[in-house]
Amino acid sequence: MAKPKKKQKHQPKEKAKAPIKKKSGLPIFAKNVLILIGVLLLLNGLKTYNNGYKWVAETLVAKTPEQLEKYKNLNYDQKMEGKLGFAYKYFKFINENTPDSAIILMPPDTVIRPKGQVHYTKKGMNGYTTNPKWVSYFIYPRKLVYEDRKDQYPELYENFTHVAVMNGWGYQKLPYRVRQESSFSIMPRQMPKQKPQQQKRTNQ
Amino acid sequence: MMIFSWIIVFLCGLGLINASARDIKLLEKLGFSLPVGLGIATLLMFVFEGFGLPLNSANLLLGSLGTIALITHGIAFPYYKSAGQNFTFPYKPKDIFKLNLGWVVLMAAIAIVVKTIVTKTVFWPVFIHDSVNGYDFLARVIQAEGTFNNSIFDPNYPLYSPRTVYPPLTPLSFSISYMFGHDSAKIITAIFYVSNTLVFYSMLKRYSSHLAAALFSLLFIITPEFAAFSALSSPNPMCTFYSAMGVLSLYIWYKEDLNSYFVVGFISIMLALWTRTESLIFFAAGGLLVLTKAVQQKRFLKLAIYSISGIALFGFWQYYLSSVLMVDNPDNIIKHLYWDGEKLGRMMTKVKIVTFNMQFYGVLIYLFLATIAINIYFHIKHREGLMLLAIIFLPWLAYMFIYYQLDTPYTNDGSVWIESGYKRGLFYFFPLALFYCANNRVAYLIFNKWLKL
Repeated sequence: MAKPKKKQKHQPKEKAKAPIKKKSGLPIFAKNVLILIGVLLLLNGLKTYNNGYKWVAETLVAKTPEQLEKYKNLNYDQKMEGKLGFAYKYFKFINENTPDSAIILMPPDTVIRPKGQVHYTKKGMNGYTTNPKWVSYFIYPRKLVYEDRKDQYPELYENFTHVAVMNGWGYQKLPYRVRQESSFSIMPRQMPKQKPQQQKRTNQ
Repeated sequence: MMIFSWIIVFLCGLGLINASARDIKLLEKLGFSLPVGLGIATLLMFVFEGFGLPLNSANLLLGSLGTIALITHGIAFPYYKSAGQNFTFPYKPKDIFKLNLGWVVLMAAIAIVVKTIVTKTVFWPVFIHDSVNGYDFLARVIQAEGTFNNSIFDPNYPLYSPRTVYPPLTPLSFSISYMFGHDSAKIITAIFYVSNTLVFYSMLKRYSSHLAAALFSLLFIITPEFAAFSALSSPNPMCTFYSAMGVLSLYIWYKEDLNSYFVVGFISIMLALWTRTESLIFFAAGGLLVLTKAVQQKRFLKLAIYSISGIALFGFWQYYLSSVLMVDNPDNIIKHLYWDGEKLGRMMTKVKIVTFNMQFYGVLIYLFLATIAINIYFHIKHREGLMLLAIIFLPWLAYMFIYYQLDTPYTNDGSVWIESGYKRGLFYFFPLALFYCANNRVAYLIFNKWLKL
């Protein structure tokens, strides 16, 4: 037989009957102000005594709006150039001057990144340019074969269609002579055919 | 079109949550909707891949997501009806005078930080090496060729890297952003930064005061390295969301037996496994909670669903890599157990330098360890919070074990596994560590008694 439930030892008193307790200690407003001061001191302390938080507050949060305002009119290519420098400009140049099906012969690593050149540079060629996977991001769907790794893809090497001229390297790979050699360019393997003068004349 | 597309992804995630996990809080629903919607979209894309359908068709994807949204919102309709009838606004106008001023300042700081980082994230295109030579490259090729198994995996001219063969949520999400017309995939990282903030605040608020929730949320989002990486196109903040919020949801379910949190935790952990392989450690941490609860309740259905789904998802990706893409993961993991004390010593020296670097993580690690020290009496005497500590420390140990198994001597030979991979992987633990800091006897005394207005 089920026993009747025992009365609990400490039953909660009915709320209505309980006397209203006055909160002891600081008045709410004073406590609120003290908490506010504490929070402000804490945030200031974090910023003052830790370089990481200082960077977040003074560089990331404070300077970003100003910086974005300054660059607000940049388009995608200009932003990429801003981040990757000359390398991006060069890859864009390749895209504009080669067909999607191009197979590009790249210089050896020692030419791409000559001795003494830092890996990450905006003025020269980015050190990652020695990595075909990294470069492919910018020039996809074009294919690459590197002079110092030509054995890896002999078929591509045999059939390359363009030469990536970097730091003056690459002209020797062409079967024709180039009058004005510039340090950075992209050259077709086959000598480009002269546009028929006749056509030019007819247009005039 | 772009906004319309994102609304559909959001509605799809929200529909699934309201249909299956309606009892989570409103802020959590808002925070989970887009990441869950994106997760469903990437899983759907893999189904398309299986059927030979194009992965770059916005109409196909949005049509499918829209259908899922309609079905799930239809299922949740009775809930909407009752929620609408019972709705009362929780605050009265005069409550504004009772506002905690410290909380107001902290929330303003959170709003400013989030706005700045989101603006910066969306402004600059993808340029970091790991994305260029990995996730974003794959995303762009998926968008161009309409298939996951694309020319990057051509055996005659392979362009894949270790980052390309991670589980596909990141590249597929990035490709969705291109499909919707964005110039850059950075909108995805921005979404996850906002979601991390919303959900973490709400979860903290569940057991502590508004003030504590705001303080610890701010500490999380201003962690210098995390804030810096959230503005880049790294998958780590994305994985932080799925793994940490997943484990926290499962922890709430473990404590309160609210099924909705099991569902949302389960979905998040599965999506974490769909984002990065190392999420296995959080799958195991969640598994510990599910196993313990199953033994306590002598009900094993949830445990079976959780384990089978996780193992199947992980196994599927390994199968797909080896049998369909036919690539090996070039991460150089040593697949047998071994002992090399000197290597471990060298690795731990690097781990110590990175973990305790205040420039990377601010006060976070020190605060966490100090909180443990202050509460040690309650942990030992009353066995309080041990499960929470277990789901932080066990995955952390497992995480270091993964790095120990990497085939590198950890000499100063130029390999930077700890200085890069481990450093960013620590993000996954931050919400858990800060959740612990806000949920212990001493924090309760400070925030819920002394600082309570």
